[in-house]
Amino acid sequence: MTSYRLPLSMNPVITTYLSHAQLLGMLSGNIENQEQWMPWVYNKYINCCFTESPEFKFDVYEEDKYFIKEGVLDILDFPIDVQSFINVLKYTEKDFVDMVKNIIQGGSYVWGIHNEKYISIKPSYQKYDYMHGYMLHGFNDEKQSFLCATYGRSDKEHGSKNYSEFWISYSEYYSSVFQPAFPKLSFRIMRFNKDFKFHINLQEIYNNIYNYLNSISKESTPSQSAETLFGVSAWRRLVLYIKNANIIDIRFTKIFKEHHNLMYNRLKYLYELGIIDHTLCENYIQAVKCSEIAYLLSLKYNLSRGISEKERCLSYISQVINQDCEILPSVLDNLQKTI
Amino acid sequence: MKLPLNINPILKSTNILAHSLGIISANESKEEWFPWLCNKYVNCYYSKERTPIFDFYEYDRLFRNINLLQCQEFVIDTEKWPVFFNINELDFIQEIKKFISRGLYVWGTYNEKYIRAKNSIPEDRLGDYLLYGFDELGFYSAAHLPNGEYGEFIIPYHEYYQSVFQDQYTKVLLRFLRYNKEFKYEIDIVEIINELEHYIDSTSKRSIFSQEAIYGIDAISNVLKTLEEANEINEQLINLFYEFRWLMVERLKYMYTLGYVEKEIYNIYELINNDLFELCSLFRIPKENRNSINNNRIKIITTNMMNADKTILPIILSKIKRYNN
Repeated sequence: MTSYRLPLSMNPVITTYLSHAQLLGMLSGNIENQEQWMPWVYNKYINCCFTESPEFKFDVYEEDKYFIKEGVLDILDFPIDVQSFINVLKYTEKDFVDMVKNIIQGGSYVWGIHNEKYISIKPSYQKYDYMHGYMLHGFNDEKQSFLCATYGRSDKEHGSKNYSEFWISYSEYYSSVFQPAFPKLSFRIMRFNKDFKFHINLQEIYNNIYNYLNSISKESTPSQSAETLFGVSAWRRLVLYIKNANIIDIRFTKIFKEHHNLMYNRLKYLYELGIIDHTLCENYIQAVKCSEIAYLLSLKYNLSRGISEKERCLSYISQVINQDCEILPSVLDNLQKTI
Repeated sequence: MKLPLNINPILKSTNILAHSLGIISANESKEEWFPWLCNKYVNCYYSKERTPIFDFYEYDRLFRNINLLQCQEFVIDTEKWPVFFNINELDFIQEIKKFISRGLYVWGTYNEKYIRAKNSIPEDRLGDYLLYGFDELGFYSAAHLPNGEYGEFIIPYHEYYQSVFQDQYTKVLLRFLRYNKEFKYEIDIVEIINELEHYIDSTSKRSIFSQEAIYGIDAISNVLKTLEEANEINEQLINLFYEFRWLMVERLKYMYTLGYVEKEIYNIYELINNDLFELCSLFRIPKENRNSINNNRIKIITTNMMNADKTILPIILSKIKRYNN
């Protein structure tokens, strides 16, 4: 076989971070009818979080990002000890490429961490070591390349980091894994579970909105440091971040926008099911619009460094948070009646 | 295609001893590796929670940490691997052959139920194996056979695949070992001194077990008692005991040739251990068939051995220490 491509949508509802984009891309790639799985997505990505370390980051919050415990994906971990593979197994580029191709051909996605210093489509190419996640979902022998869904050359300040499909040559990929800087690398084989039953879960939605409004999480894990904030408190921290930022990391306003867009679609679906009032859904449109404008203003601010753009951006974000705090408690009331 | 393997290594009472020393002694001359071996296997342990209950104590049992046998280990999920890696029986066999061709020994665990050469009683049993070659019939393997002897045999490819990808054990080990030709074998007197101290004090450098274990002279005392009182003959335990005592004498003999131990003292220790073969033969007589002469001899030899360890070994240790300083 000279080429193969696993199903993967490049237009998932969240594209800001790879983990969400990959999982949602697999869902929509593997199940054509969105109505089958989208209601399940409405149970998810409701809470959000801010972490100070190990990475300063605002994100939607899901403890199990690939929903492995729930059974959406089945995984096999195959950690790579770089030196051992090279010196003991005498693993060649051909060995590795053949193995990866075989895995993909068997219907599994290849996920891992590699050094983007060796990947020519990446900003760090030939400049500095940069370890990052990747996922391969296809290959083409004529191009001598793997198909990878990732972000191309862009930066965190300008532009919407373009999440797209890229071809990464076999030799670049091999070099990015079997590189000298990081001796042990994650390598995971993931299979989409076609038998998984996707259902809406009103109790889960209720719990997650409750947690979001009260800035708590359902799980407390050791990895969550004291600096971790959840729910609306996380978004309030975003306001503080933007206030003090010379340059705004555009991922943060983008995930804010995507989070609220998804919330709106969730409310619309709940309205269609007759669970919440029409007015709640209508009123929430304003929050979505404000989050979109806040995102655009953050982009504009990074280009112009204009104080007014930043202030307007902050104002819109604050408005959205206020709308969350006004509208979502009523959504909870409506949900409780149904549950 | 066959990698070097000595089927008759100096220690072979367990697979782990036989495999590792079989590889080492096939790749290097005894003059090279024996002085180094004197540093190793100095101490022993006894634990009723483990099988075997008595064994050589060696923290780095595969000699991986010292980079003598370079190792890449995988844990095979027997349900997932064929699906996730998209490999069938032929693919898997080809991969194993490829790595053997590259000079790697394959050391893993499998279900012995599927290995005809191993299963005198066909039942699920997780055992370990060593593959060191292949031909048109199958893989060359070495292991303890049902008759208790360590020997070589051929595992047909299909049997091997079945024994790995079976449904009784969902996790099996797959290790690839490369003999490091650059390894420098050296005797380490300080290591011998430390280990002998542990042996005499019945302690260990660090515990390698989660269960309680007894070390050194106390372990010898316990295994002697177990062998004396056992109703059933435990051939492996007798062999382990024999090999441990034998190696201790060989070690001291070598130390004597280097001048660390005085001839008279070494001779006394050797003389007492000359009865080792007789003692092990007596342990091979079922308890109910032993007569009073047998029992008396066991008592005398074991008492002498324990006395030798308790009185002569400390003298030898102090001589080695003094000489070393």
